[in-house]
Amino acid sequence: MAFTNLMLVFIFNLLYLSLSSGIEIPEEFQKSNHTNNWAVLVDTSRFWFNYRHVANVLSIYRSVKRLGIPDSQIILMISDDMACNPRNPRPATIFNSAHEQINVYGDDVEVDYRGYEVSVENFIRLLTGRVPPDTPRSKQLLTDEGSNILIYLTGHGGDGFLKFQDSEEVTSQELADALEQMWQKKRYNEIFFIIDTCQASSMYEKFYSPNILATASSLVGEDSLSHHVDSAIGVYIIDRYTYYVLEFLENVHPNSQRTMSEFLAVCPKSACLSTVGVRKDLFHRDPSKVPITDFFGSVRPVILTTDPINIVETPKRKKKTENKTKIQVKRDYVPQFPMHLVQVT
Amino acid sequence: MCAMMKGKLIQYACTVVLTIPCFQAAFTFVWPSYAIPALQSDRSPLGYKISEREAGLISSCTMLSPMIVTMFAGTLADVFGRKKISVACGFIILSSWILVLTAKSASQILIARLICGLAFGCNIIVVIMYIGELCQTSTRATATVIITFLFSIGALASYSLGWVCSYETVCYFCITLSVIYIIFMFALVKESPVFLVGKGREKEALHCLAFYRGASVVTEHVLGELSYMRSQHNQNKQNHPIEENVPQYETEKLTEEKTSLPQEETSAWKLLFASTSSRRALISMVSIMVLTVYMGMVSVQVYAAQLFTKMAPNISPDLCSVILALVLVASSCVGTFTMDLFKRREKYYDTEKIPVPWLVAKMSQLHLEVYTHNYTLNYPLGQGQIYKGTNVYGILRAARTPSLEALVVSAPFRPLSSHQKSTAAGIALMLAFAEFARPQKYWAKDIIFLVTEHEQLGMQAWLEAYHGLQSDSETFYTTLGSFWKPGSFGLDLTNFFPGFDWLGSHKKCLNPGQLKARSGAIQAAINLEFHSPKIKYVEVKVEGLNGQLPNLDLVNLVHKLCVKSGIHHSYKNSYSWVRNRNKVDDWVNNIWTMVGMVSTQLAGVPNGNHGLFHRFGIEAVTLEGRDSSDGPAPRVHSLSAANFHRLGLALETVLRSLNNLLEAFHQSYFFYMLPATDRFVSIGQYMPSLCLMCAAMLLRALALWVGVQPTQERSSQAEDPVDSEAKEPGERPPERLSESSNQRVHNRKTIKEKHSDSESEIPGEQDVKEVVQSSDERVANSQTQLNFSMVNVGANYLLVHVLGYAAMNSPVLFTQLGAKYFSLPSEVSVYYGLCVTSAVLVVAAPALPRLLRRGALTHEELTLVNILVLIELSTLCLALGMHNFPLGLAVAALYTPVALLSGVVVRERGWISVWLQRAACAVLQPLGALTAAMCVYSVAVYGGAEGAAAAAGRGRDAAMQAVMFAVADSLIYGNWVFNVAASVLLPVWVVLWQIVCNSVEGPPPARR
Repeated sequence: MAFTNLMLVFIFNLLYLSLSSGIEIPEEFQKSNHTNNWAVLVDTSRFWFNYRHVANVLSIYRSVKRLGIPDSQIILMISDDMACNPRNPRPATIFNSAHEQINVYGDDVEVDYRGYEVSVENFIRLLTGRVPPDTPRSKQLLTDEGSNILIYLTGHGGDGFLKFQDSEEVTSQELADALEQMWQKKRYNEIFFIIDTCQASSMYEKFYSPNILATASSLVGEDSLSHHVDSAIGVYIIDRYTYYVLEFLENVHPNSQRTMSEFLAVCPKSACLSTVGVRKDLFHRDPSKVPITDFFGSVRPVILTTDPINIVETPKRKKKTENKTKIQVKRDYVPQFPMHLVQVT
Repeated sequence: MCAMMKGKLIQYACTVVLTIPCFQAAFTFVWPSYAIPALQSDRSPLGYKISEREAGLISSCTMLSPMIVTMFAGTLADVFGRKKISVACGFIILSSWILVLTAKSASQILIARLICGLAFGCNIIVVIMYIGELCQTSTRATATVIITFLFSIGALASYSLGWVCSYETVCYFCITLSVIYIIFMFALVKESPVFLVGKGREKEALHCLAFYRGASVVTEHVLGELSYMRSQHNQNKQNHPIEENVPQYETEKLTEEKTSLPQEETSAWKLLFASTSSRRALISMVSIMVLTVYMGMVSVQVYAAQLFTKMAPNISPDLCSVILALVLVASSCVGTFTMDLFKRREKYYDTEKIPVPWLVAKMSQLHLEVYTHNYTLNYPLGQGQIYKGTNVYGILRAARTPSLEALVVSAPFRPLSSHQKSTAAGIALMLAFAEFARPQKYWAKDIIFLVTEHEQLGMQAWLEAYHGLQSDSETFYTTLGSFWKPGSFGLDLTNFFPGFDWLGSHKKCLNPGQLKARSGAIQAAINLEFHSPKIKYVEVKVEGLNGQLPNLDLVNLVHKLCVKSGIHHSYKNSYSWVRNRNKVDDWVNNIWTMVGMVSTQLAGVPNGNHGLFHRFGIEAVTLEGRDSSDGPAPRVHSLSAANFHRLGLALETVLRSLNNLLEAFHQSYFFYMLPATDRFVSIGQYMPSLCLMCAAMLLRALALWVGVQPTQERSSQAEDPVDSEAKEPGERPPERLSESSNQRVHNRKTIKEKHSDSESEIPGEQDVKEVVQSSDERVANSQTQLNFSMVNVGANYLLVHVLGYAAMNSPVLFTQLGAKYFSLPSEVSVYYGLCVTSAVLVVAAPALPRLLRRGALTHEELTLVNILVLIELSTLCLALGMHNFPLGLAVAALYTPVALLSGVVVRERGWISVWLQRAACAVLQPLGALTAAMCVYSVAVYGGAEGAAAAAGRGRDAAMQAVMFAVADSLIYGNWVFNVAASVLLPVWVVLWQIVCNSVEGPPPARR
């Protein structure tokens, strides 16, 4: 522990030294070494009657994606395919309420772990980064010490465990150890941990790693309840906590000034029927001063430089007219920073 | 919806256009009524007066020519097409009127009217065909009525025009009408799709059909109808008389039946006479036509004006004719409405058979996969009767899943002559639901819609065929979970006596046949028995074969969803709408409900088609619609009647819930009793009552065993060597137990031995103990008395059970004997056969134990037998109770007191107690008890009205029926009540009887 602290001090000093030599940097950047955002969204339960858990996790997915975390940095684990379940009378949709106003399934859901891939082993391997070498990038949590991670879990839980797929469960101790391992491997800067299950708060009670803010839909001994049933679909459609979270997040924009403390108070007992649990002791900042976009939004990669940039002539693309056969244009993402404009030394 | 309206409009428009010639026909038929007077007048358009003979010819020749042409009209239409013939008729009519207009002589008018008649005769045939083909089912009746309506309107128009217009104007009117007709024929009307399908021009047919349905070509509905037409056409091509496919009703024997269907081409004429319905239609049509003509209707119409001139000189004859025409129009209107009011007479009104073609057509119109299923029953107890039946089932395939799981909605078909209430509304509800369910997207399980014939027989056959059970008895009984396998009896008497076929024929009597298509594993089934959609409440029936019950979850689901759909529901005496303020009333009601359930389960006969599903691990219930006339439900008149919509809602929610199931029912109880619709008693609560009764018998057995233990003086010394000695088979000592009567009572019985004995309920183990003991005693005492024979006890016991087994197999033999030598019906011969068997057993059984030995019976032997029978009886009751609690409870309640009371009869004891024992035992002889119970019941119910003797006779008949049903159920459905009664209960009773009937020397003095 002492060694870690020493290391931290050393890193901070180094950072300070390296930065102070440059131009003046805004205060917030100096204080925080938060450089990127990730989200791990997990629905652990399968079967049609657990429609609501998929609606839960997709609600959060929809919000974080809208607020700016790219799909490449969202790990979405969904145990069952509700949208294409034959029992779904509205194929290829998942709604958050019986009014069917928000289709949380959307048009471009990228599920990274699905079906039986959603297992305790895969989940822990994902968090700790101990994935097999041939794992595709979309299935890896490629975080570093500057990453803020949003972890959202939903499913069926009990006192001290969360059930995965009717066959196995992860205990709160295992989860706490996994997070500690992440901390030691410098895989995160801060973690915001949300869990929407029965007796949810039991899952974060064993956490002992720093910089974790945790909230849960219910305390130990309480059930986390569903919001309402849609008789057209025939099942409970969403859980109360996530329903109100989504309602709140729908009004949050990338530039809004909402803070985490507002988020933590999103579902009072009168609405949730269960007490929302919060654990702040591991988190060193004041949640009322942390903008919600620290976890739900995304930090664009920013390169601060004092050097002048030579903008070279942009290479002209040759128009090929001779080839008539239409080859499908291979599309790829434009890099977020126009590096081809910059002369790299 | 819009397309549907458009389609209907188009159909009506085309019908009107097509019936213009009919209008003209009527116009032309009555034309002479006013034209003849004009032609015979001085200002004749021909320039001269026509003679009477010419006038007569002109009037009648229009009727003459159709006679010739109608014979060929159908063929012409089939060869050239409906449209072409119709247009040709239009041209002929046009030309005939031009001829009339330009006529300079009577012969020209004659010719014109002759060819005109040709056109009408041809047209009337083609038009009826044409309209029938282009209209959909819902508009067809109205469209056909338009023909008759326009016909009468034509007469009216003709009379009116003749009244007010001149001869030429009438001709011009007709010519214009013909031209309009021809124009519309070209512009609007398209060829009949049926004709095009028949010609193989399917693409055109599709276009025409789409036009007539007001839809684009690709509509699923249109495609479906087209494929239906195609299948109809193909069927017609094969020329199977459709109704001949329906197997005969069960009363007919195979020997009388045509076993092979006519495969050769049958002509249309033959077909007309082959099937009952078409024969009936032909006769009624011909008689109606003949009557109309001979009533003089035609001549009245034709000569109207002349007739009225003579009859009513004061009134204008033209006015009279118009009035006549108006009356005709009015009557045709009335005809139209009454036709809609009374509907067409049911085609299958008086038939006993299941209307297979109708059901198949209905289901295929709903786009289900439809199949029929034929099965045969070789009735085991008659003189080889063979019954046949047909089930119809349609599968709704779930669109988005493979057919791995299925739900069943079934309804039994009952003919109108059936003594039970019809289930037509149930079938209607099922079909309506199928129509609703078909376009839904959310089915994750296939739904099988099943209509069964012959009640439970059809259901049993279908289920066996669905699960691939063939007609060999081996699979039948193993899948039943039954201990009884007829084939397993090693002794096959057929080898020795050729006459004993009845033992060798192990073929199952019900041949379920093959299913043409299946779906997945059936998860649940709902059986519908509704006689009317306007029911007051729904009774949920659960009891199945051998008292099996569906999972409690399904029962609760149905009750709860009935509440949600606003339907009143009930179970036995518990009604959902009755809420007792008084707690005691509630208790009483609950008890009666439970008693009702017990009595239903007791016989092991399912009280609905659902009961047969349970055997295959399928949860099923029957919903029976009831109204105020059935059942003593209180305040039922004040209930609002349910309607089709509510019932459909309930059915949909039930099936939707079942559809959402992910696993087979397993969460809740399979063994329970229902005191109310929303309460249950679980197996853990009701089993102890039965267990206590059995425990009493076991305790008595233990007590007897302890009592029969011999004293052992040196048991501890001799134990070890003797044990090893006894276990060696070679040195097995003579199995005799010495009775140490001359020795003093020794209380020091080894505790170990007592323990092991009370635990071992298997006779075999006890034998070993006996052996151990006997050898023990043999070593101990050199003086032994020979008063215990294992051989005797065992052989007697075995013999009695073999007799029971024979009794179980005897009914088939009794039927054959009774039929052969006394020509008795099988129920009588079975009943009296069993009576004779029982009587023989009653008389002979007490002597059996003496049969196999030389000496007298001993007290110990009988005590041992008593112990064995107590153990067997308690085991039987427990085993029965596990499967069918009410039956187990009833047997235990009846036999426990007697089994506890009856003991070994000692000679010196008082005769009163002995005879009391014997009487109690005699009363409980299974067959006798059944007959007595039935007689007492009949006397109690009917005794006052009919006199005790008659009522007792009725009771005996009821017992006869009961025995017969039990035997038949056991052979066909696998109900094991008869098997258990004959093969276990009867031997147990016989052994008890032996015990109380044989008196022996008392136990040794030391015991007393």
